[in-house]
Amino acid sequence: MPPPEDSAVTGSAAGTVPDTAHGAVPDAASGAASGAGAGAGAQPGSTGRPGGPSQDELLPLDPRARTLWWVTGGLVALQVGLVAALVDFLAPLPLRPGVLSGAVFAVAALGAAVIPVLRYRRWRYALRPDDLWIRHGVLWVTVSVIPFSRLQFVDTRQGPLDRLFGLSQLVVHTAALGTSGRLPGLDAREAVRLRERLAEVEPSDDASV
Amino acid sequence: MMQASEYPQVPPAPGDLTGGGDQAGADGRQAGLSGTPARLHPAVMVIWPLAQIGPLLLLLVAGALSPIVAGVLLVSSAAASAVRYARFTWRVDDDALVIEQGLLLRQRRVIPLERIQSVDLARKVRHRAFGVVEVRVEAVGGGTTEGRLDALSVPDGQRLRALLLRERDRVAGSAAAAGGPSAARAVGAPSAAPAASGAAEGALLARLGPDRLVVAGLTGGRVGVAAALLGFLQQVFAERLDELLEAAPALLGLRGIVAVVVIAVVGAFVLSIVATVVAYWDFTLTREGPSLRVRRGLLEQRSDTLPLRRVQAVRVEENLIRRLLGFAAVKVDVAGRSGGEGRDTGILLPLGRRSEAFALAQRVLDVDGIAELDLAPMPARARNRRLVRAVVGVVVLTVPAVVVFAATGLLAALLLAPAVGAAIGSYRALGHAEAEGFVVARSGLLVRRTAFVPKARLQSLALTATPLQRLRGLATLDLQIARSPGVWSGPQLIDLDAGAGSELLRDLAGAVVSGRTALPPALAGRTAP
Repeated sequence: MPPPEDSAVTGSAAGTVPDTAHGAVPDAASGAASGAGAGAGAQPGSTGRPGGPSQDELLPLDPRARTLWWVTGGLVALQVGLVAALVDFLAPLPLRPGVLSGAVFAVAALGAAVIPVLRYRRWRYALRPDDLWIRHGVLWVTVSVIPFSRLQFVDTRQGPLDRLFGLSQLVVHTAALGTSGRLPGLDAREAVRLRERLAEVEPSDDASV
Repeated sequence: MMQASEYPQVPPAPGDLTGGGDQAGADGRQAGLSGTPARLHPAVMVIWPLAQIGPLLLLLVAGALSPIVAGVLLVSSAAASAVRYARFTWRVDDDALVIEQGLLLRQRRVIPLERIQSVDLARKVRHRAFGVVEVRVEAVGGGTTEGRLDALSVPDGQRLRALLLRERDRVAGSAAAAGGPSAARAVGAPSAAPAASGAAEGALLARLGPDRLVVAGLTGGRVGVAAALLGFLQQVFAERLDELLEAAPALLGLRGIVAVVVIAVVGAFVLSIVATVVAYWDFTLTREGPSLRVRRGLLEQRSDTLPLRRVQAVRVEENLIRRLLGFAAVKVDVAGRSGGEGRDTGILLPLGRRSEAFALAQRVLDVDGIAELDLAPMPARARNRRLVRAVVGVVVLTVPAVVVFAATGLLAALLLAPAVGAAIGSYRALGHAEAEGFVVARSGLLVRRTAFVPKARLQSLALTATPLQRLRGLATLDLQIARSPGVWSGPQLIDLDAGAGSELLRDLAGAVVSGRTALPPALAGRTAP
């Protein structure tokens, strides 16, 4: 059995501190600690050779993405708090009014404050010459690989909040069902640049299905 | 061996379409084939309104519609059909199937021949009454049937299919420099030759007798559907049933309840058998040139083509009952198949002996020994995980049961045995193997699926670990292919050792990126690199 630090998604040996995760898409924030684990299969600047992305190929999302998530999370927490307040003040509960809704809002607000931080720290992507690697997920950690030879089309999407922060989403589709890869929280100009670059990739013969 | 059947007699008689499509016959009936616009078969003017009669009848019976209104609706529908018929034309150009329709808003649909994925023929009862056939043209990337000719005479339909498939191969062949047009022609040619001379092309791969259909109906998922239907009916008629029971006291009591249950169960099985027989009557799978062809159906007869080069994965499915009896089914994922009408077109064998099923999978893939591969089990931690989950689940059920029902609640603990059994069964179902150009993935307790996935068909990969998987150093690798929507979750290697999963992710991604993923020749078709 390979040592646990060789895994892409298991996190550290203890599996408790996600931010020291080692592996195929190591967390750049954890610095040198993860270098050993990633080194085994990584080929810096690889062009078609097997191996996960190397340390310097891995990029975090734009920090504004985290701010955006705080805002959206805060809005959700407010909604949840409002619903709880309605129940609280209208339904005959054996509690002093405000206790329940206060507690619910506190939990929601805590989640809205913490989850974006964890999520942002987990998010890493590597745009390499021939493929795109993405690692994401707070509880469910997913590492996905999209070879460019399989790309069918590439979108950028920008919601109203995205525009407010100057961000954009890049969404790549292969012939597989559903969306294959999504990069939220890219700088809007960067997203467009990437889209144009990916649009030029020639699909390979057997990408046709 | 091929049973003579009135329909569809494919391939068509030789000589009809020996040239390219552009010079196909001077016969006036072949107008559409030769490039000049042609109409549908006039019977369509009756077939279209007939299609609407079902709902109309229902409304009539329900009393929601007066006969006069129904009559007016029917007449207007017939009139509309006549107009639609007059304005509907189709033709095969040099490089496209062109369908034009519409009275005020003229709609013109051009389906380039090289985008055609398959051409299917189907005959519902109303088509058979008029000796016509419906032609469905599926194009690459289309979510729904792109081209639909609701009624052509049977010979016309067969000629059109042969022509479209052959011309598609010709167009695509001349586009692909590597193979050259002559090679493409060679591939296309046998489909125009009589089956008798091309035994290899019309090779019979599987055929199902009525006995197998009955077994399929007894053991298939349709039993559940039928049971649900009966349950629903019982709900609807619950009041009547109560009255009946009151009126006939003899029926009350244990014997009556047993009788009702027995009738319901037998009814579900009978319904399921009937549905299976109707859907898969005379099921015949043949290989014809670069395609598989499936013929089936009692009331609605269908003849579907599955181009081998569009096959994304082959899988053998065994549900729990079939596995105990030693039976299995074989299915394929074909890219671009829509979820609607093409829903169950990916079935290569509705039911066969387990060995037959794997042999068929191997024959379709044409890779030696792939069916006999020994699959490696997943780490024992995967089993422990399932055992813990089973025990925790039963405890979570038992504790509140004891709180509510006191000692009687302990009965919930009896669930431990089946839960543990399911946990072990679900672990044993897991298995994986790598063979030249293939990944084999097996999983599933209720339906055990063994999927044979060509590496060259991988679209993208995803390795996911849930928090509990991470605790045990496990992860699940999704082999994402262009599968048909809905039916299943796609091939997965569930609960791999996380390190091994990581390595496999890198290896497979590297293989796809570098193009080191040759398809087996059987699936490569003519555009193989």
